[in-house]
Amino acid sequence: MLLVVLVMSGAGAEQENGPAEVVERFQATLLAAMREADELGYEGRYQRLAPAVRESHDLRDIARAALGRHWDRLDEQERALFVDIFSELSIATYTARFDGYAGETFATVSVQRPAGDSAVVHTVFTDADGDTVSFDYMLRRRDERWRIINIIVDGVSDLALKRAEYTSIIRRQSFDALIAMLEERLARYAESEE
Amino acid sequence: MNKQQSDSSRQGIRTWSGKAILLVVILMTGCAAVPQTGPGGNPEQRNIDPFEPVNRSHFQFNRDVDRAILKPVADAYVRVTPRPVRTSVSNFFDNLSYLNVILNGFLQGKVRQGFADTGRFVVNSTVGILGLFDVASALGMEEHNEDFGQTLGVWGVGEGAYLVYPLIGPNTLRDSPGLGTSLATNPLFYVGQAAITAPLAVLGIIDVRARAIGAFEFIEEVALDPYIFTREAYLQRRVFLIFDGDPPLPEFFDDWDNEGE
Repeated sequence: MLLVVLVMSGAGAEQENGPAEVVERFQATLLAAMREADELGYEGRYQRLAPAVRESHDLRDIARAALGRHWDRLDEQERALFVDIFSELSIATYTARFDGYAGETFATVSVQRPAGDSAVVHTVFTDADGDTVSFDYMLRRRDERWRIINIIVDGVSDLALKRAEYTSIIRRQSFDALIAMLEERLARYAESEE
Repeated sequence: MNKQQSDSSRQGIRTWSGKAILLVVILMTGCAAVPQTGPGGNPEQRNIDPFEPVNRSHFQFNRDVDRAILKPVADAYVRVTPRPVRTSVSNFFDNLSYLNVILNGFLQGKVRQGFADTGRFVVNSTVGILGLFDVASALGMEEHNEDFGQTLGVWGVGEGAYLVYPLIGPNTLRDSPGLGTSLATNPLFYVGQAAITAPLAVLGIIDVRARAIGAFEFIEEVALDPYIFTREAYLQRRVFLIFDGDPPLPEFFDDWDNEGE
C-alpha cells in the first residue's frame, strides 16, 4: 500500500520536477547570475547560486562518491566537515567560472533513462563564438526527488576527476592535507574575484 | 567554455613535431612492455599508471619547459596575431593531419565517413587554399576526429599503461604507435626541405599551445593535483573519442556506484 502511494506520488512529481526540469531550472539560474555578473559581484553571485546548487545537486552523495572507499574510514564529524567544504567549493567554482555573459545558451538535446531511478540529461552549451560544449548531467531519484550526481563535460566526468585527485592526495598525504588544500582553493576563489 | 581544454590532449598527439619524436616513441614503446588492462573501473583498481614516479618527473619537466618557453611564446603569438590569421593557421595544420583521420576512419570500417572525409580534405586543400580556410565546414561537411590510438581501441586493444613523454605529454601504450602514424600520414613529413618544414613545425607547436591556453589556465585554477587531473582528463577524453562522443552510460553509473556504496 505504501509502495503504491509512493509510486503514484512519484509519477505525479515527475511532470513538474522531472530530471530535465531540474537541470533546466539550474541552468536558467546560472545564466541569470551570468547576466547580472557585474552588478552582483562574486559575493552576490555566490549567494544567488548557493541555493540553486544545493537544491539541484545531491552534494552529500557527490562528496561521498568523490572520496571513494576512503569515505568509509572517516568518522561522522570528518564526513560533515568534508561535505561542507566540498559543497562550498562546488558553489565557488560555479561562481568563478560563470562570471560574465556574452550570449551563451544551454539547450536540452535529449533525456535518457537507463534505469527507473537514474537519468541522463544531454545538454549543449553554446558560447558567444558559436562553439559548443556538451554538458551531460547524471541524475538520481531519491526520496521522490531528482538531483544531479555528476556532470560530464565533453566526455570528461567531473566526479571521476575529483575522485582520482582526492583519493590520490589522501593516499600520498592525508585526509587533513586534502582538507587544507580545499580550504586554500576556496580562499583563493574568494580573493581573486574582487 | 572549455572546449580547448578537452581538445588539447589530442592536439598534442596529432601534431607533427619532428623525426626525433618518432625515434623516442619507438624506443620507449619498445621498452614499455606492460600487461594489458581492461576498460572501466578507476585507475587505482586497474593500475593504469605503473610508471607514476617517472611520469610525474616527465610531467614536471614538461611544465617547466612550458613555463620557460612555450607559454610565453604562445601568449605573445596570441597577442600579436589577429584571430582570423590564427584560425587559418589552425585550419592549415588540421588539414595536414586530416589524412590520418581519413586513414583511421577506413581502418575502423567507417567507409562512408572515410569517403566523406576524403572529400573534405580535397575541398579544403583546393578551394580552401592548402587548408587555410575550412570551406568544407561552411558547406556542412562534418569534421571527424580519428587517430591510430582510437583505431586500436575500436579493434579491442586495451589502453595499456599511462605514459607521459618528455616534450610530447600524456599518452598511453595503446596511443603511442599513433604518434608514428600521424607523422607518417602528414604531407609535411615528405617535403624533405628543412628550410620549409622546420619553421612550419615550430609554428605548428605554437598553434597547438595557443589553442590550449584556456585548458592550461583551467587546470591551474581547478586542479589540486595537476598531474592526476591531466591523466584522468586525458584517459576519459580518449574513451570519449573511441566511442565517437557517445560512450556507454552504464559505465558512468557503475563508476559512480562502485566506490560510493
